[in-house]
Amino acid sequence: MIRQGILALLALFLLLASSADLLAAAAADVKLYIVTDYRYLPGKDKGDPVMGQSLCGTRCNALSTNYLNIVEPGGWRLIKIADGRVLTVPLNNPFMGGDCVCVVDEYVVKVDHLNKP
Amino acid sequence: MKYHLPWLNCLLLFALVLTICPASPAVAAPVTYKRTVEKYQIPDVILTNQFGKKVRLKTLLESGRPVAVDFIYATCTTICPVLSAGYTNLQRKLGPDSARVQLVSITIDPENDNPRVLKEYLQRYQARPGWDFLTGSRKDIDRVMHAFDAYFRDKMDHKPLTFIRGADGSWIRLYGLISSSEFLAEYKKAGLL
Amino acid sequence: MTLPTKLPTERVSLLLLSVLLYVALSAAVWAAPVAAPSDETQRLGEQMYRKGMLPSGAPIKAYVSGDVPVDGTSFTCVSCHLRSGLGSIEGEVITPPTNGRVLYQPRKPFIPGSEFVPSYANYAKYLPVRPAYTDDSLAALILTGIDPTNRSVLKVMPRYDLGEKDMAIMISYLKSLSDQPPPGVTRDEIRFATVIVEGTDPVAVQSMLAPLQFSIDRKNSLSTAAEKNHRVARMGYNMLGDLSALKFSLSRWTLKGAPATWRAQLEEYYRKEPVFALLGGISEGEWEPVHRFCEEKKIPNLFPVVDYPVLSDTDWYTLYFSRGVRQEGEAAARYLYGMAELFKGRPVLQLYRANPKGQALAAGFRDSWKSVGGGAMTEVRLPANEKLTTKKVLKLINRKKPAALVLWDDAASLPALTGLAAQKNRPGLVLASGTYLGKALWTIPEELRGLLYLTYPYRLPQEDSRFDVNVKRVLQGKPLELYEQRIVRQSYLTGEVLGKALMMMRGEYYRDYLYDVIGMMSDMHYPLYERVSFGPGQRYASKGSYIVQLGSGRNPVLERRSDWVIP
Repeated sequence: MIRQGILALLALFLLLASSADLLAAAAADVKLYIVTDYRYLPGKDKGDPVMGQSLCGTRCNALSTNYLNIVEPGGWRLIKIADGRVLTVPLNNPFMGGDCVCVVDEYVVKVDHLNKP
Repeated sequence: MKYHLPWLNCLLLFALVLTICPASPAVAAPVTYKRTVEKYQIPDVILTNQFGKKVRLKTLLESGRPVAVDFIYATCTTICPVLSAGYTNLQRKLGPDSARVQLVSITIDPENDNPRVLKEYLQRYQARPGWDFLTGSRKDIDRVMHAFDAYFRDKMDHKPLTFIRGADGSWIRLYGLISSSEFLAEYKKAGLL
Repeated sequence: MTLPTKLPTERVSLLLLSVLLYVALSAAVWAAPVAAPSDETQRLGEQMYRKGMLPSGAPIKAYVSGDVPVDGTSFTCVSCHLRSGLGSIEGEVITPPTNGRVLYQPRKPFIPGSEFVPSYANYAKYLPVRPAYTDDSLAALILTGIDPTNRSVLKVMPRYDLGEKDMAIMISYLKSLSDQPPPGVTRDEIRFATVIVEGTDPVAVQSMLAPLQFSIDRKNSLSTAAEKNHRVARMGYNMLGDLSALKFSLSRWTLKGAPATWRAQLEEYYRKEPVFALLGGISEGEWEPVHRFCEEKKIPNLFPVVDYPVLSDTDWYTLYFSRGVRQEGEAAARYLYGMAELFKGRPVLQLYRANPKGQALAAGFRDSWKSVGGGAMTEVRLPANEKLTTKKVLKLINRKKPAALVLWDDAASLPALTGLAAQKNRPGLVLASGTYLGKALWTIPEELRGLLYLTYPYRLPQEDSRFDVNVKRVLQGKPLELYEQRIVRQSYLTGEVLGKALMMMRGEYYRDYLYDVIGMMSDMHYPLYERVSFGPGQRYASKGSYIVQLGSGRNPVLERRSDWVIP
């Protein structure tokens, strides 16, 4: 009787463990940025600084993720892995050249095993 | 004579009550406002004004003109009418010279407050040249709020805050429901009028 | 002085008569029910309360703290006390109710641990004790700003200069606010209904209904549990007040035939079953007749699932998820306007399909572009059955030399854009609707992906998938794949907002108050929309749409190119 109980528990444990693995595998560590500052680098094009700063704002803010999208559903955690990293990305606007310097905090998203909803 | 006596009693009682009870604070609002002087770093963001034009915030706030800043939103019910009435009153006092002073309102509801909505709000408060209402991307607005130590995660939790820029670049922070006459007095005190 | 032992009979009868007359008159004045205010009085009172305008048409003269005069139109009663008159909470400022029913009751001291206090803003802990108002003391408050306990409210509330007649109209209006229980609300239940247009795809209908029915059923099972178990009842009452015992019902009102006939059907349904509010609802086409019905009968309708909502700045009774398909056109215009200075005079070329979707997108773009003062724009309408060819696209590009091409059509038009990237007069970018492309969004030819920008009015799929677990909870075990994904997520939001609103109403179930509390709700991050926000008078919950591009490779993801709300 007891042995059957233990076997059943073991089977259950294995089942749960494997599903947790599946969950972890499916949600492979996702990296995301939260942007804290940005700057326009005109380069050789000498673009209008206000337009450049505005478009770089859009460019860098678009790289940034809203942390509430991660924490609101429940079951996920954000872990900071870099603070104030400086990324230089091309502005990528069809009408204007130059680069954008985006200052970002880098995070990794993990399944929250501790505080499951 | 008999018929006047009860009425007289009431009057005496009322007078007694008046002398005994001190003036009480208003319903659930702070009694006075708090005034402190702070230093803030204005982030270099490009916001959008009521005409849909891009505005570099640093340039607007560091123009050399006297500047006041508040954080409101167009569908706000209680706090914003009080703050905006202060701006309307100040502009009225300035008369035709209103553009001499830069009054800035920044929306904390960029979701709803697009340039058309901003313009309607300013019309409602009979705004004259010199009063600009700004919106922008949510992240940029958040950065400006943080810079002024006026960050509210949700607009429903916002507090009444007005800022006056002193001649030396520091900011006079007025926290509380400041009345129009108090705001005018503060403005004069800053030596800007 | 000695009293006469016997009074003359004439004097006695005269005395008796005068006493009787006095009693009769008093009874007439004090005991008789107050005559219902005339429609005209109501209208004038409403104009004063909501617009700050006197019956004469002039603005009410108001004075804020320090005797500073302001226009009554900038300090309307409705702005703080809200449309229902039940008050508001904003930050740290509490505006108490101003409806007659509450004003003419004394406010008693709050006893911690005591029973449930009604109305969100009637937050007894923080509001001062006062006796009941009378007509005279209420008039005194409005005129002088001093309440019956001699407290001044002038720090927050202006005093209003109203003449005697206008004051009487105002007081009569205040007495009428949130006074009688509305239709659909009884001691035991609140009745709801949902409007379904016949012929709508059954999967879509089921996707709309499932989360709503879940909310209703779960609420009713809690009420049943409360009936059977004292502990549940007590806990429920302390948390929810009488909401814990109320039962809900959700009827289905199906509309058949042409939209012109819907009004009569809705009137008939409502006559048979007056409901408190409508929840959800679904139509693949028209919705206006239902919107108008709700507006005229003053029946709230929360979140109908429609692509073409009625757009209004002032209508009150229908709350929509967004401005519909048109919103994508508006977002596209704002995105392009942000860089329009760089177009160097080159126009924007808008191509749109002549069907409801294409026209809505084009109208959204056009109106937004014009209202921000965008530059030159030229449009070409594509008839319903004309296939867009490469030849036509190249001809237009070479003739107009547009800085940007805006194309509102389905994926069948994408092949017409091949080779565009290599053209001399090519536009800087091409904008299209992500929802119009549908599933073909994921298989856009690789060579087009750099040129093509798409409106996408939802949270990106790779981030929205985290919310699946929330949606699954309302499906009662049924698999998520059975449903239309967008609609089931929309309906999830409806259930959540309804629950939250009912709790915030704290026993004051009035239709206008339902919207007043929704207007006080904080922003929400729920499945589907990146962000949903509310505010007094705001009737379109999701205000954004991303501009995205499809990444490269065989398993591409959407990449943001803009903010959620483009200023």
